[in-house]
This record gives sequence, C-alpha cells and structure tokens, in this order.
Amino acid sequence: MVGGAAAWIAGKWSSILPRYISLGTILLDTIILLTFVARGGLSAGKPWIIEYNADWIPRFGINFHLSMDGLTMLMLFLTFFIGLIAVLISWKEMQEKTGFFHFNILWILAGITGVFLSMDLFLFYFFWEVMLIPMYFLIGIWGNEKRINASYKFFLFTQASGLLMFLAILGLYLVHGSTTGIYTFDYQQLIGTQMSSTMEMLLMLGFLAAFLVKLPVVPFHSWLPDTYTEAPMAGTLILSSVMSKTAAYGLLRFVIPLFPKAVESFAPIGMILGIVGILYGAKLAFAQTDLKRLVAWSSVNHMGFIVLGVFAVNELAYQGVIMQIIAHGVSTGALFVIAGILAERMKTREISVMGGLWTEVPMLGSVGLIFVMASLGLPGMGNFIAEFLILVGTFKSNVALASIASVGLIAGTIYAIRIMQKVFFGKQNSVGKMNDLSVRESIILGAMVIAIFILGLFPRPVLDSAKPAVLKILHANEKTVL
Amino acid sequence: MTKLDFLCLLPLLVVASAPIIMMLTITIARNFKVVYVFSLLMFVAAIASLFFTVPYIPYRIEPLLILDGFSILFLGTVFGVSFLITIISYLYLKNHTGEREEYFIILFIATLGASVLVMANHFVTFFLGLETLSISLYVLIAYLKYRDYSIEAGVKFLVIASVATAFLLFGMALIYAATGEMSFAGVAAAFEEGGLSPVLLAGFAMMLTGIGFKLALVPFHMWTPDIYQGAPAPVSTFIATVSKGAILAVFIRFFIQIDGSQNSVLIVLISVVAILSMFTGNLIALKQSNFKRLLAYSSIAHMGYLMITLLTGTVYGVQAAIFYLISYMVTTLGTFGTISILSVCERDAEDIDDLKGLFWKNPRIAVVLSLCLLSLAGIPLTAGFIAKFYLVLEGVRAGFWILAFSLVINSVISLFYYLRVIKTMFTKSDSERYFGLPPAGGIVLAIVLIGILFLGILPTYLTEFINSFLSL
Repeated sequence: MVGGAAAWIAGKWSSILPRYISLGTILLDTIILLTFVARGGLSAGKPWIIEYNADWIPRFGINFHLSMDGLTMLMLFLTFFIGLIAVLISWKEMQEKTGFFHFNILWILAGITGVFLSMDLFLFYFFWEVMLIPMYFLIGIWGNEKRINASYKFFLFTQASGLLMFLAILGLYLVHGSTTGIYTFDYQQLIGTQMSSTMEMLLMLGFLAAFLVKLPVVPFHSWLPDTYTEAPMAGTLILSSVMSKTAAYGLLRFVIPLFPKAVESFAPIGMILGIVGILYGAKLAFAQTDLKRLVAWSSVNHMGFIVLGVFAVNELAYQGVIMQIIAHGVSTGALFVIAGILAERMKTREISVMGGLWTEVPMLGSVGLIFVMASLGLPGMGNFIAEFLILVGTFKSNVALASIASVGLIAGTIYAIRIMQKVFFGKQNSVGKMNDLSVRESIILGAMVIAIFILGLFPRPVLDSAKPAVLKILHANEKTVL
Repeated sequence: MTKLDFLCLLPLLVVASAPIIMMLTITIARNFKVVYVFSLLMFVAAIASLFFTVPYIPYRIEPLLILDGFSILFLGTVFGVSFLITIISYLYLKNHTGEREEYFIILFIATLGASVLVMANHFVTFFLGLETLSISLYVLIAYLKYRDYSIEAGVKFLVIASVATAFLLFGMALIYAATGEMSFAGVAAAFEEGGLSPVLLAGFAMMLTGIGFKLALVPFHMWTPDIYQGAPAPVSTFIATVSKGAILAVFIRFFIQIDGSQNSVLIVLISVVAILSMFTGNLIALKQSNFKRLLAYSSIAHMGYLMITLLTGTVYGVQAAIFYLISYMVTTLGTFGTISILSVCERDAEDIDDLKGLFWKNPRIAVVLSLCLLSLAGIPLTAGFIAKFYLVLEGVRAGFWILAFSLVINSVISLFYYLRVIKTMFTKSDSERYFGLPPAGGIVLAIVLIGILFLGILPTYLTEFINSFLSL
C-alpha cells in the first residue's frame, strides 16, 4: 500500500495510456488489499489486520504509522470501488490532458487511502491535505462553466477548516506532552489524554470544524452544491462518495475516542445539527431544478443521518453509520453517474427540459428507479438497513429526536419520487433521439446495482467486519470515562 | 593575528578576494563568461573553506566576529544561494548588451556584507556588514540603467535604506549611551543588570525600526514592492533571500543574546509588528496583478511569520527559524528564478498574465513554479508545510496562541493569490510566446524542486543537521 503511492506518480509520465495505467493501479491496490485481508483474517483478538510503523520525524514524535482494521478495510473497498468507477466513467468524457487528469485522480485516491490508514495524527493531517490539491485541479481544469469559483470555494472552505483541525492537533500534542512528558502524535498514545473540560471542548471543536465542513453539516455546507455541480463527473463521484466519507470516518475514529467527555456534552447539539441537515437537505433538494444540484442536496440529507448516528454514541447507531457511509457512497455515486450520463446526452441538467425519458431509454430509467428507491431508503437496499440502524440507535439515546428524524425519511421520499416523475415519466418533451446505455455504462451501473442489493440483502459481512472496530471505539470511550 | 584567526576568517577572505581578482582581470580583458565561471568557482571555494573551519568552532575573533555553528549554517546557506543566483544572473544577463562583468563583482561584495552580518557579534560589524550589503544593493538594483524602473527603484532604495541606517545608528548610539557597551554580550549583560531604562528602550525601538525597514516589516514595508518590481529579477531574488536572511540572522543573534523574549515590552512590540505584517502583506497581495509585487507582499507576510520564532526565545525557536528561512530561500529561488528565466531583454516576465498557458507550453517550469507557490502557501509534501508546522508548533509551545492563530488565518488568505497564479498557468492562451528553459536554468530549477520535496517529505535530515550545528 505504501509502495502504491510511488506507482501512482508513474501514471503521470506515460500520458499515452494513462487510463489503463490508472485502471491497473487501482485494480492492483484492490488485490493487495484482498491479500492483506486474506492473510490477516478478521479475528476478534487482534486489534489490527495489518500494521506498519516507522519513524518519520522522530524529533517531534511523528511516526509513519499505518494500520488497518475492519472499518478501514471497508472504507478502502469503497474507495477502490468508486475509484474504478470514476476512471471508467471518464473514459470518454476526458479527451484531452488525460495524463494529468489521471494523475490527479490517483493522487486523490492516494490521499484518501492515506487518511483511512494513518494512525498518527500528523500523518492523518498530511494526507488530509494531500487530497485537496489534486481535487482543486480536477475541478478547476475539467469542471463546468463556473468551475473557477467552485474550485476556490471548495479549496478555501476545506483548507481553512483543516487548519483549525491542525491547530487542535497541535494543542492535543502539547497537552499530552506536558502531562505525560511524551511528545507524540501517535493515535493510540493520545487516547485517554487527561485535560480540563474547556480544553477538551476547544480541541474537539477544532476537529469538528474540519469534519463538519467536509461532510458537510448544514451551517457549513455552502460550498457543496456549487462544487458538486461544477466538478467533472469523476470529481463529483469521488467527492460525494468517498471524500466526504473521510470526514465521517474522522468523526468515528478520532473525535469520539479522543474527546469522550466533550462529545457527550456536545451530543444534543450534534444530533440537532444532524436533523437540521436531514430536513433542510430534503427541502432544498425538492426545490432544485438542476438534476446534479438536486442529488447534491440529497447528499446533505443523507449526511445528516451520519451526523445523527455519530452523536447518538452507541453500537447500533455506529453500525448504521458505517453502513450508511458505504450505501450512500454507492447510491449517490450512481445517481451522479446517471445525472452525468443524462447531461452528456442532453447537454443540459435542467429537470424541466427532461421528462418522459423512460420510453427513450428504458435501461437508464430502470437503473435510475433502483437508485432513487435506494436513496429514499426502500427495504432490500443498503440505505434502508443503514437508516434503520441509525434511527434505532438514536431512539435509544433520545426518543424525541429520533421521531423528528423519521419525518426526514418522508421528506426524502418526496424529492426522490420527484426525480422519477419529472425526468423519466410524465409528458414527453421533444428531445430527439437518445441512445440508451452503452456497454461500458451498463457495466458501471450494473456493478453498482449489484453492490447496493448485496448491501441491502446480506449486510452481515459488513456489519461483522465493522463490529470489532466499533467496539474498540466505544471501549476506548469507556476506559477513559472510568 | 594568529594562524587560527586567519583560518577561521578564511571564508570571508575568499569572498573578499574574489572581487579584487575580478577587478584586476577586467582591467586586462573583459570577458563575461570568464568572470561568470570564476565567480562560480570562488563560491565553491568559499563553501569548501567552511569545512576547514568546522573543527575550531565556536571561535571568537575578539571583539568583532564570532564563528559558531549558527554562523557556519548561515554562511553555508548564503554562499549556496548566492551560487545559484549567480547562475540565474548569468542566464538573465546573457542577452543584455553593455558592461555586465561588474555585476558579479558587486554581487560578491554584497555577499561579503551578508557574510560579515551573520558572523557579527558587535555593533561595529553589524553596521559594517549591513552597509556593505546595502550599498552594493543600490548599484545592483539600478544595474540595468536603460530601464526606467531600475533607476527609480535604485534611488528609492538609496533613500529608504539611508533612513533605516540612520535609525539603526541612532539606536545603537542610544544603547551605547545607556550601557557603555557595543558588543552584543556587553549590551546583554548591562541589560540584565539595569533592566529597560527609557533611553535603552528608545534605543531598542530605534534599532527595531531600522531592522524593520531592512526586513520590510509593516509599517516599514512601503519600499519592498517598488524595489522588487524595479530591480532585475535576479537582484530581487538576492534581496529576498540572502539579504533578508543575513539581516534576520544578526537580529536573531542579538535578540537571543539580550534575552529579549523575557521582556514584555519588546514582546508586545514585535507581536504587533508581526501580526500587522502578516495581515497587510497578505491582504494587499490579493489585489496584485504584477507577479513580482505579489511576491514582495507575500515576503512581507513571511517575515511576519518568522517573527514568531524570535519571540519564543528558545533554541527550538531558533531551529524553527533556520528551517523556515532555508525552505523560504529555496522556494523564493524557485519563484524569482522562474521569472528570471522567462524574462526577455526588454522587460521582465513580471505580469501574472505572462505566465498564461505556461503549463501547456512548458510543463516542467510550470510544475516547479506551482510547487514553489504551494510551498509558500504551506501545503503538505512541500518544504513550506513542514516549515510552517515547525513555526506554529514552537509558537504554540511558547504560548503565543494569538500569533499562531493569525498565521493560520493568513495561510488561508494567502492561498487565494497563490492559487490565482497557479490557475493562470493552467489557463490556455493563444499568444505565440515561447517559453524556453536553458539547461543551466533547468539545473537550478531541478535543485529547487528536489530541495522542496526533500525538505517536505524527509525534513529530519535538515533538522538534525541544524541541531548538530547549533549544539556545537
């Protein structure tokens, strides 16, 4: 996995066949991942499937510490899956500067992989930033009309919040150093650092700033619709399906275990933020006339569930959050792909222009139906399990909030149905001849359909492999509370 | 003067002898290339001479100079950067007509001034070095005399630098009046004994003003953009790297010796200056359409960042400062080096629009320049990130949360304009301009590239290196 980063750079220089190279590297990474899993196994006794630790900047106690557990493994599978789809989907869309394009995609994936793997806070921040620059280029060079503004907005929002997290990391480092005398950025050692409650709150807010902006949670979401809409298809796919998940992962992996008491006192606010996200996202999704924007807002809605689950702080909710991360990655990703395909064919993203497309493109329509249903949480698909688990988890800790959140599900149904009605059914507008899915597109969407059904019908493997990690997060929690 | 004295002065002597020999050769026959190659050789010799002195440090040449790990580090940096600037200057001046040989002579004299500064341990050498440096800079700035801007910039620098010198000198005089001492150690002792009397405070404030002018800290920064813009690009490089670095070095030495970080008045003064510099530099840079002016304002901000380390007053702070300075110098070498390489005879490639389409025409230059700008902005994988991290860490450790916080805010602001430049390089342009990269320029840029990435990914080597020298 470490060597993978080096191989990725190579993709840049051979710009003749960069597509195959990037496809190959991601496949290779998946295989490496599989062998790790096969070799390590998911025994409950061992904390990490695989671990790699080396000194990096020993002067400051910075280690190059990577490790993988069930949670990380799931995240990586999602990352590589979406990565593959991103490369495939832009197979035709990108005709010029392909070398640099794929270089950027691979670097983003490298950054994301690093974020999921790193067990050293400094390293974590390092990768966190590494994924921003190529994404900036991706949006700024290959995006739609208003790409420059979108790329600025994206970069400044995430960078500013990232720096706040960086200050918090430094603060934690110094607090830990001054109480124990060991100056280190290592995650496991930093867990259980003793500090005053105001300090803990401040540091947690620093971390939250970064994660809540990235997710995004409602008061910090204003970069999202623009960025998602203006980014090229592969960019939107990676942004929504994987990059926003790094924040959810960060919440689970870092915020909860590092600042248990602060999280406890912040939980009601966090849950309310989540609910606001659910309702507000659904409301605005309903009001959009731009298909891509609509999906972007629906993503805000789903992220609300994740935040809700994270701050419910119990095992069921966490299982739900992890499920939601993966299911949302697949379903929203697929919806963006569909929106992209439509935009490619019709040269517009306006919903009002579309309508009655089912007769023209039945295959696209049926796939669209599947994912719209998935998105609104129909049983049988991944999102249902996820949202159900989150709501049950929330119900345990706060009945009132869980009830309000359930209303959000209805709101979700309304906008989801609207997509189907306006785009595929209804009066047919004269749009001329349209081709249905090509083989390549069928493979992409077919894989996603299979994935979402597997998640919905057989969620056990996911839940099982996430379980040790979830327990560890909660356990770290209890240890410090005691 | 003992033999050992002589040996330890060797680096200075090498640098001092070079201009004399060059002047003599010029009287016999003018040859631009010969002078250029000779300069390069002399810089190599100067760097080599540092190795002879290492076993004897710390060595004092009473009462004026001191050769310790700190000076050796800075001497090495000054010589190395000057070496690269010489290459850039050659490429820049190659196509110019007229008498170009003297340029290298003056460059050497300026380097000599900077070297004396980093070894200074006494007000006399402080002043001597500074003046040697400044006076040569007047000439260098106005060197391309057929350009209107050059003369204007030269005169402006002359006036401003003289005022700054006057302040500095007056400050030194006041301190001398109050303490009766002129060596750094003597002043420090007197300061510790008697505390901060009004006269002494006035003296420090005057000195701070003078140094503030030289380092272009707000509110003494007005000259920087004009000079950066007016001077030939390699000279701007020299001012931004060697000149400022050397002045900062002597300032750090003085400040640490008098233990200024223990004095609340000085802390407040410098904090205010630092915060003002950060914000003013970055906010004005947002509006610039001239790349040189943009870099000038960004350098004001960077000097503001560096002030944080000064306040920590610890050996860690000094390490952070050296690390930051070295990475800043490498990066600046890259940005101004690119401008120099892209410049044509009539004018410098100083508008941001001159860079339009660079990425599509010469991706190698564009990649290096992008990396430099990202390093200035402090993005991971580059030297600038580790440097900033080091700075913030030491700042926070010493308890300067406000300063660290404004550094963070300013990093975000600065991203705006760095990204704007990068974006320009990626926009397509229809102009027929050709962007060539001569081999020697390629080598300089390659060194910059490797330097930035190396410091950004494996900073340990440099931190340990700095550490080992400082503990000598």
